[in-house]
Amino acid sequence: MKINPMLKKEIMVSVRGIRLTVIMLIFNIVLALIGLVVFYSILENAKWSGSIDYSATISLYCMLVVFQVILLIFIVPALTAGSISGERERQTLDILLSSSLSPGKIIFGKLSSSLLSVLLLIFSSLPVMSLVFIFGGVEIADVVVNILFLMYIAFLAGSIGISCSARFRKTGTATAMSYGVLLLIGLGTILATVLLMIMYEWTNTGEWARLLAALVLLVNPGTTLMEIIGNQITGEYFMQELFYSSSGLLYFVTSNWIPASIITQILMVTLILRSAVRRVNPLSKGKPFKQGKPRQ
Amino acid sequence: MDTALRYQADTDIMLRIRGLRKQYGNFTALNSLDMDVKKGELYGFVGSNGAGKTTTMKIISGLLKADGGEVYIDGVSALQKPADMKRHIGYMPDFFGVYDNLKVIEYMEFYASIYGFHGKEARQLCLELIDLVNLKDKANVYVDSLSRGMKQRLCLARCLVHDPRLLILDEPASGLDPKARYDMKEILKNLSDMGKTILISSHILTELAEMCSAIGVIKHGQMILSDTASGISARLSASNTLVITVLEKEEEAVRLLMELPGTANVSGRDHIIRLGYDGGAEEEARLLRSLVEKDIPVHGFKREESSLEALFIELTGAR
Repeated sequence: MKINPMLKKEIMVSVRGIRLTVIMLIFNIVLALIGLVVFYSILENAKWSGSIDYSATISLYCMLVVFQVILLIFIVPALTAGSISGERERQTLDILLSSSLSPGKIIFGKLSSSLLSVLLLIFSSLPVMSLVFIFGGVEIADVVVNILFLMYIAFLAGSIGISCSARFRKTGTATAMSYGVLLLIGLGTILATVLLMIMYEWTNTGEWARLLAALVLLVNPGTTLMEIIGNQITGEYFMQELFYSSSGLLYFVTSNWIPASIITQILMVTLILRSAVRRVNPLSKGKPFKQGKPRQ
Repeated sequence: MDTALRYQADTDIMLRIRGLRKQYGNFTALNSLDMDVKKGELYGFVGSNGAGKTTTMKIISGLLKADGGEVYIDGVSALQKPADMKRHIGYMPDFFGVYDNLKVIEYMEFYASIYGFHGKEARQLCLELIDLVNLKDKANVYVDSLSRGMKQRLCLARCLVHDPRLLILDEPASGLDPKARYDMKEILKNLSDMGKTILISSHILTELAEMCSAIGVIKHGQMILSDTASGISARLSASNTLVITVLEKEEEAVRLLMELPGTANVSGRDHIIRLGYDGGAEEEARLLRSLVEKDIPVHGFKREESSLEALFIELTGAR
């Protein structure tokens, strides 16, 4: 099987550097601290009460998942925002683009390499995650779904990082913009939703305000995570309760929140990646090429 | 005749450029550039800074979009099918970097894999190319620890990994010490002897003159001179000043020379007479005979050595 040359090169370079090792260390230290502190409190509580509080185990699981997502949102842009801009700064991009390696393959290779690094991070954190199995309450299938979701988050964040890297010449600017975009998606959508809901509650706006609020939130992967965890733990669907609709498009969206949000986010990222490929391709910039009249 | 048909008739042309244009805002980088590079030629591409050399090379290599014109590589339009053409071009930019944490052999194998070479086949090919550029003993050294000259040679080896028909080298000797420049020149001569078509740009004109079989001079985005090396030499010889040293009768010699056809700008000082004369060897002999027949004691008679630099400065107005 032929591996993408860029992917192979990136793996070789990343394992020789110290950066991935340091990231893995910090990632696991943070998770371990959280896990062990919560676990310690569970045990201390059990000493005093004489019984195990299983809801605390569930809380431990939720905290670990949420912190993993937060850490990945910090880590992945740092891994990917220098992908293309770094090649420009190192003056290696022109050589790559003059070769048979297409801009799409360059970007795919860079993204795949970052996802493999994330996979390594996730698997390295499994010992900490396995704390949730000690007292039960969380199934292996839940953890597998969690791992898949983390890879999905890494794909989203990585795509945004690479797109910013293709757009901006400097790695510093690309990194800052990546975090900016993620902030916009994470918090900006929530703010917009709150404003729309306030409009709906306090003014005479119609149902469209709530529908628009729901559609805005579809691009926020945090809502997808919330829905997944909610379904795993309580079997409930938070978005349906949040938007309390019994019919129509709003009901359809909120009752199928997980697939609807994933499809929306994937569509968004697909457009972002296509834009990144166009930015990297030197022949797709500016005005369309016009064939000059040949001289006689 | 249709341009494509006319081009097909010239099957010995590897690179043909017609009417190439490129604008950067208000600045015209290329202004209807025309150029032909024959197969197997080592073509020197000369021009002042900002003349359009790098822009031309980047357009040919598919790194810049032209605003108009045509570029054909071995009969196929490089502007219409840039992705197809990349397999047939080896491009070396004037400024380039290398990757940290990659060894020389791994760097070569990375680029070999881009072109579909893998495993033992790739390794063997890469080792041969590394040997060709005299870096065999550096195969397991990290590329970022190589000297600049070694990196240039490595980049040249990288250009050859897919056996391209056309090599485009933008100032390959730039920033190199004399020994490294000599090494690079020898490698390029070997490649030319192997039948590679090479388009090379440089400011080091004497080296271009020594190794190139043809030279093109670009100014303000247009080709102002394109000729074979022998044609350039003849042009230099014909444009060189004739210097005649006389022992006496300097003024009489100056008057006589002014009356002779083909002479220009005749001036004399301190027994040395300088004049422009575009005649060949036979005409020079007749001119000398004219002086001798008038009993003018001629002590010295020679063409002043002119240089490609002087011709370049004259053509481009670069000072």
